[in-house]
Amino acid sequence: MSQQLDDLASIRALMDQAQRTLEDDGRYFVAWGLLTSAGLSATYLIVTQSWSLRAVWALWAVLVALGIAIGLHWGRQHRQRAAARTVASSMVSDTWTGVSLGLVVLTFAGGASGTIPPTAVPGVVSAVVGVGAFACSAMYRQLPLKLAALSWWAGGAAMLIWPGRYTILLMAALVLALLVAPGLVLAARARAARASQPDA
Amino acid sequence: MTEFDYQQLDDVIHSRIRLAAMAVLAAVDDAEFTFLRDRVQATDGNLGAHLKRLEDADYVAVEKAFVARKPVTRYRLTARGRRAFREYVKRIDRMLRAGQEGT
Repeated sequence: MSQQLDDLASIRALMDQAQRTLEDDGRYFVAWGLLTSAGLSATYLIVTQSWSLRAVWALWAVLVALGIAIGLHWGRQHRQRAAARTVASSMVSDTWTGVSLGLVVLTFAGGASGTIPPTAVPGVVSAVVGVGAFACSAMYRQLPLKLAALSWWAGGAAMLIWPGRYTILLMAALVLALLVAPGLVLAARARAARASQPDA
Repeated sequence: MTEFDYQQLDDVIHSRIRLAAMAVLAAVDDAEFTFLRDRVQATDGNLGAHLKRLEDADYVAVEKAFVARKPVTRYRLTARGRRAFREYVKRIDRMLRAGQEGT
């Protein structure tokens, strides 16, 4: 009887393990991080040189469209190539899609209309990205991602309390440290996992 | 019919490899053959034969495709397979509980 109970327990463990399988090679983090930090650097230049603010919106419209196009292309590729399509990977993908769409609404509708003051945009973006990182940390089962969420929120709070041009550069630093760097770590892990995989 | 009637158990599922493969597939939307093999820890030939049995019973659906010029075989549970798996787990669980209460 205990043998059968053990079998049933191991079947449940197998299901739980499969359900939590999450393949992430970090390239979305790296791509979005690089696009965003390039955009923020360009924005800082435009603002400090007192060029037209329209250039800022045009720049971000192009960068966001590019990011979405890359995301859709990689998403299709990932669906074809993932060893397993799991609930965890759908949840991560849906969380980041939701966060990205929310940010598009907040920055373009809120920022461009003036409902959200342009100086508050980096703080708001930082706080919302923190929600994404926090929601995904449970699925990645990574404590550093939880700490990254806390850092996004702390950065967001600082930017909202003490607004100014420096927030653009602070945001770029957060993006490099909390998006690009974890993306590179995930990429290295994915490469190591692929290398240790026996041939099919 | 008693709780211990072995005929209640679906013998298509009642093999350790098929049960494990069904369990993995019940937890995902679909999976590649290699993913299943690594989880179930069976050999290619053995797992392939068991998956064929599940396919013949219409418990799993198979999709073969070429991805980056490599052949890839993906498996998913059919609605019938999902129902059968749920029923199997429920029955074996009930049987084991009844056994525990009897001891």
